[in-house]
Amino acid sequence: MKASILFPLLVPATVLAAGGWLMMSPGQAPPRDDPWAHLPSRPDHVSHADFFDPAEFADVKDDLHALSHAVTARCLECHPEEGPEVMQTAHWHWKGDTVHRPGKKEAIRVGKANLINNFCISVQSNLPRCTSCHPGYGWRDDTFDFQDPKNIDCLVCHEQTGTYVKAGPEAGYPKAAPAPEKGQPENPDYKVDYMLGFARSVGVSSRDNCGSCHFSGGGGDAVKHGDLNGFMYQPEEDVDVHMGRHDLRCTDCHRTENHDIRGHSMGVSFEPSRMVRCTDCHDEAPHRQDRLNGHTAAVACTTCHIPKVAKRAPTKMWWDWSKAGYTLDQAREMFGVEDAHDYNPIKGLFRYAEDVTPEYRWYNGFAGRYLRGEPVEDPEAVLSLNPPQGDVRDAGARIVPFKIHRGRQPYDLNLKHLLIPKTFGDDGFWGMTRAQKHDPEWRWHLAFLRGAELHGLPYSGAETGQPAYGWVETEMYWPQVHMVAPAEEALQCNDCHPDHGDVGLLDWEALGYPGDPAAVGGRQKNNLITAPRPWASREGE
Amino acid sequence: MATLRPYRAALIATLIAAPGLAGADLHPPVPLLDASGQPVSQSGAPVSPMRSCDGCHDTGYIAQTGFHFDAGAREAKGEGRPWDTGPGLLGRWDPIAYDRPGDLAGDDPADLTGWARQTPRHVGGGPVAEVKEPDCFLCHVASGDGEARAATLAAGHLAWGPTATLSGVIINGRPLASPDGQGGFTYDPAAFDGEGRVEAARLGLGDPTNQRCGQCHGQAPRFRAPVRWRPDDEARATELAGEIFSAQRISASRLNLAGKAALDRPWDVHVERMVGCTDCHPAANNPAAWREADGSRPGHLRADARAPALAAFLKRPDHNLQKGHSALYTVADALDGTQRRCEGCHDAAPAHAWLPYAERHFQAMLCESCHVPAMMAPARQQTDWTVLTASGEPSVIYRGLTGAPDDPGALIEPTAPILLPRRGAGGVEKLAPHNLHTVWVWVQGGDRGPVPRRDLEAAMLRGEGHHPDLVAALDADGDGALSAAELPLDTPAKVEVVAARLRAVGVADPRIYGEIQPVGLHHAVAPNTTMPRDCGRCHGATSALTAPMVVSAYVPAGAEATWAPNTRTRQIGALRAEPGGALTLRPDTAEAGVYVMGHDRPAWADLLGLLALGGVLLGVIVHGGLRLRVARAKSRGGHR
Repeated sequence: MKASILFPLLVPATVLAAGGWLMMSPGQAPPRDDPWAHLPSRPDHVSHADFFDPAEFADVKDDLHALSHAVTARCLECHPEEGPEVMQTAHWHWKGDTVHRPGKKEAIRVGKANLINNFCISVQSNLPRCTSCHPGYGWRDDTFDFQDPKNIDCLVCHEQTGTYVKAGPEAGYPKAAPAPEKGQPENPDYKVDYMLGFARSVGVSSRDNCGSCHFSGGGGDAVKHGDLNGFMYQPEEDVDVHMGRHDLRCTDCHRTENHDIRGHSMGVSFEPSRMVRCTDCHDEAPHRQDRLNGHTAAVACTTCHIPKVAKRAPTKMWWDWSKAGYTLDQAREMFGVEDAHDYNPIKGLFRYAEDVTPEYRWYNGFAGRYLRGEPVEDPEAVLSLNPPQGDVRDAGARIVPFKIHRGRQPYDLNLKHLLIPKTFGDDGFWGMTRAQKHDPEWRWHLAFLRGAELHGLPYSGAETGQPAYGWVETEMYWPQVHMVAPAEEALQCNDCHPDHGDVGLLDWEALGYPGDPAAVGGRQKNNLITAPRPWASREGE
Repeated sequence: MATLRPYRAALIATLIAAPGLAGADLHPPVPLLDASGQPVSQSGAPVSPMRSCDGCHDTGYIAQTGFHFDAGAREAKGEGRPWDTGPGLLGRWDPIAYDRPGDLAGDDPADLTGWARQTPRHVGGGPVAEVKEPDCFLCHVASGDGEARAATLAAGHLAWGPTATLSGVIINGRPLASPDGQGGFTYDPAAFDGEGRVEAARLGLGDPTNQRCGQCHGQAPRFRAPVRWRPDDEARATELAGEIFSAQRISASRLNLAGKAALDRPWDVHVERMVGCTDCHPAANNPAAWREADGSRPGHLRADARAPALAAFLKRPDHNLQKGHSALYTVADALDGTQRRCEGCHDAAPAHAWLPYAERHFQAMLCESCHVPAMMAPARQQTDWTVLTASGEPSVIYRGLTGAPDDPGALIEPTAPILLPRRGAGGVEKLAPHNLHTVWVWVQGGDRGPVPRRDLEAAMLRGEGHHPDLVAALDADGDGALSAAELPLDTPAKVEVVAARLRAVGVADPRIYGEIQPVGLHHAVAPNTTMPRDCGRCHGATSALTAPMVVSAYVPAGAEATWAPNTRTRQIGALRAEPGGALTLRPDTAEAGVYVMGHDRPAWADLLGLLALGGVLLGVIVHGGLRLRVARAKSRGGHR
C-alpha cells in the first residue's frame, strides 16, 4: 500500500531533482592539458630490511672494497637480470650510443669518458677522482672490468638512508664507516653493519640518489648545470614546480626501463633521440590562450617557464684555468680577486652568479661537438665545444634558454688541439700546486706530459722538453630544463616584447628576425620557414 | 592646407609603413628652437615646442583642435553645477584640485596665470596659450620629467616648462638640460649637432607611452618597476577607481594586499598583452585606427572607408583623442564613445558559449561588469573638505584601505564595485561597474561655489594646528589636537562652529554641499581565466548586482548628498543612512529595468509557480491513484 502511494510522487520528484541538478551544474570544459594521465606509475616498494644477514659477510667484514662487491653480489642473487641491464647503459660506460655527429659522416660513440669540457676538462688521466660519481666500484684506470656485474654500485642509486657517500678519490668506493666513538660499546662488525644498513634501505631511486651526483656536477653543489643544485632535493615550488608543488621525482620524467634512464645532456650528447620532452606529459598546445599556443612553433616551453636558474645557490659562469697555480694572496694582487670563492689556487679564477637569466639561442636538438684531438682553428676566437644547431630558418628549431659556461683552458701551441692535463694526484697539477713544487708554468708543463702518458693525446712539449701550451677561450652550452617555475611566474609578453624604450630578454635581430615578431610577424610571415616542424626533428625524419 | 614637401611626405609615408620600427627610428633630428626660431643651443633660451615641432607638424592646428589643450574653455557649460563655468579642466569644479581658476588668480580674477602655474596636468596652450605653450614633450618624450616641469611651472617660470620636461632626457650620461639655479636651464652642448638638432631616438620621441599618459591619468609604472600604491592627486584613475596600468602580476607587487600570493594575474590584462593607452584612445584621424564617431556617421554606413591619408595625418594629427566619458570632466562630449571598446577587438560570443542566455547578458551589461570584478588598489570613497586637517588637506577615506594612506604596511583589500546603469554614446543603458566618490564641501551662498581654499585655511587653521574654536568644539579626547576621528561634523553644533568661523573670515551664508560622483571602471581588466563562472554570484538571494556600497562613512549634520550633474550614470535605489552613521546605496535592479532571475522574486510569480506546481503534483497523484484503484478493482474482478 505504501509503495502505491509513493509511486505517483516519485515521478515528479525525479523530474524536479533532475532539473535542479542541471540548473546547478556549471558548464565545465574538459581539461585541455592533463599531464597526470601521462605520468608513469611508480612500482610498489618491497622492504629489504630482512634480506642481508651479517654472517654471510663475515669473511670480508674488514675490507670495505671487498664488502662493497659482496653486497652487490648479494643483490644480484635475487636480481640476476639487472646486472647486465646496468652494464649496457650510458651511466655505466659514460658513453652513449654510437651515433652520427651533425655534419660528419662517421658514427662515433662519445660521452663523459672521452670528451673534453671547460669545467674539469676531462676525466681521462684523472679517473680515480672523477669516477667517484660512477655507479661502480674500482674504475681507476683502463684495467676496470666493465663486464663484471659485481663492480656495479647498486647502493648509490637505490639506498634510501640519504647518508651513503662515495669517497672523493677512491674510484667509486664508498667512504669508510665511521669508527665507534669513545665510550660506545665495542662492535667488531661495525663496518658490516654500516654497509648493510644501506643495503637494507634500498628502494626506488629518489631525488637524493640522482642528486648526489647530478646536483654536484663540476666539482661542487650547483657548479655545472645551472638548473640543478642541492635545493632541488626538497625544493620549494618556486624553485621547481614539478618537484616542489607536485612532488615529482627525477624518474617520473627520466623514465627508466631495464635500468636504461632516458635523458639527454648537451654536454655529452649531440643528438636528441633520448631527450626528455615537456610534451611527454603536457599537451602540444596546453594554454587556454591561443596566442600563447601560437608561440610553441618558435619558442621552447622552457623559454617562458624557466625564467631564472641558479635559484637559491650560485652557479659557475666563468672558469679561467690560466690563472691557476698562485696563492690566494697572490691572486688578490695579480687578478684583483676580492671574494675567496672566486679563486682556487689549484683551479683558477671563477665567476659565479645566482638567479641567472638564461641566454637564448636557436636549438633543434642537435649540437656540434669538439672532439679530442680536433684542431683549434683560431686560438684568438671563442671555441664553442658544443654549439647548438639550428637557426631562424630551421623549422625544427626553437628558441631555447641556455646557461653558457665560458672560460679559458689549455691548448697545444704547436699541435693546435685542446690539452688534457693530469690534475688529480701528487703528480698532477693540483698535487704539485698544493705542494708548491715548481712554478705554475712548469707545473702545467709537467701535468700535460703526465696526462699525455696516461691518455695518449700528444703534447708537443714532450718533444721539445719545454712548455708548449697556450690558453683559448671556450664556451659550453647547457640547455636549462629544470627549475621550472610555476605558471604564475612564467615570462610575460613584455619580457620579450618590450615597450618602447625598454630592453627585452631576446635580441630579435641577433636571433635572425627582422625585428620584434610582435610587430613584424613570425617566421612564416617573414618567409623564413614554410611551416614549423616538431621540435628537434629533421627534414625527412 | 599647407603643402607638404615631397621629401617630407616620403619620409612620413616611410615612417608609417615601416613595421615594427618605433617612430624615433626614422624621425629626423629635431631642431630645438626657442620662441624666436633660434636654436636653443646658441640662444640658451627656453625651448619652444610650437616652433621646434612646427617644421614637420602643424603645431598651430594641433593646439587649436585638441581638447587636452582647450580644456573645455570654448565649450558650453552644459549641465554643470551652478558655479561651474565650463565642462572641462578649466571650468568644471574639481573636488580633488579644489580651487577654481579665479581662486588661484592674483588681483585680476580673469588672469589665468595662477591656474596655469598650479595646474601642471594641463599640457598648455588653449586658454593660457599666451603664457604657457603646449608642451609636446610632456606626452611624446619617453623620459620627460613631469615633476621637474610641475616644479618649474609652480615657481612661475612658465616658459621654461617644456625645457624642464626635457631635463629628463639623458644623452651620453648627461641630462640634455640642467637647472641653472635661477629657475631656468642650461643645455649640454654635446647633445646637439652643428645645427642645433638632437636625434629623435636620443630624445626618446614617439607615441605617448602608458607612462606618459599615466602622469595625469593613473599609475602606470614601467614593466619591471615594482608596483606600489600611494595617494596621488594627479593619477586620477588610480585615485578614484583603483586602476593601476601595469603588466606586473599583482602577486609580485609591493602592496600589502590581502590574499596577494594567490593573485597571480596582472594588474591589467591589456597592458600585459601590450595594448597601450593610445591603441584604444588614438588620435581621431589616425588612419590606422580610423573610425568615425557614431554621432556623425550616416546611419546607412557601418564604416567610412575614406580614411585620412597618412601624410596628412602626420602633418596635422588631430589631437582630439578617441575617448569615453568621465564623471569629473565632460569636455568634448561629441567624442564620447569613440574609443575602441571591448567589442571593437573581442568577439564575445565564442568565449561565452558556456554562459546561458549570453546575448541577454550582453544586452544588459557592459563587459566590464564581469571583467573588472574588483578594485584591486584603494580608491577614494570620500573627500571631506568641511574640516581641513592640520596640514590643510581634506580628510580622505579610501575604499579597501585599513590604515593610514601613507603607511606602506596598511592593509589593502580588493573591493567589489557597484553596478549601475550607464548610458553609452548611442543612448543605450547597460549596467557597468563603478566606484562612488562622495565629496563634502562648504559652498558660499548665492551659488558662488566652494569656499576658496585660502578662506578655509584662514577660518580653520592657526599656526601648526587648528583654530582654537574648532579645537574647543571638536576635540573629544581633550588632547588639544584634532585627530582624524574628531574631524567629522556629525552634530549641528559642530557644523555651526565651523560655519561661524567661515562667516568670521568673510564667507557669506556658508553651507555644506555633498556630491556623489559615479566613477566608471573600464580599465584594470582581469584575465578571463580568473573569471568565476558562478551564476549564483548574481542570480542568488545575495546578488552582486544589488550589493550595497558605502557612499560615505558619515554624513555632516544637516547635509545631503546629491548625484553629480552631467554624468552618464544613473542612480538606482535609494540612499540609506545606516545605524552607525554611514550612508549606503543599494542598487534596485527594477529601477534599471532589469529582471534578475534567481534574485528578483515578485510575490505573484512565486504564488503562481507554487499553484502550478501544486496543481501538477495533485494531478499526478490523483491520476496515479485512480489508475491504481482501477487496476486493483480489475485485478479483484479477474480472480472472481
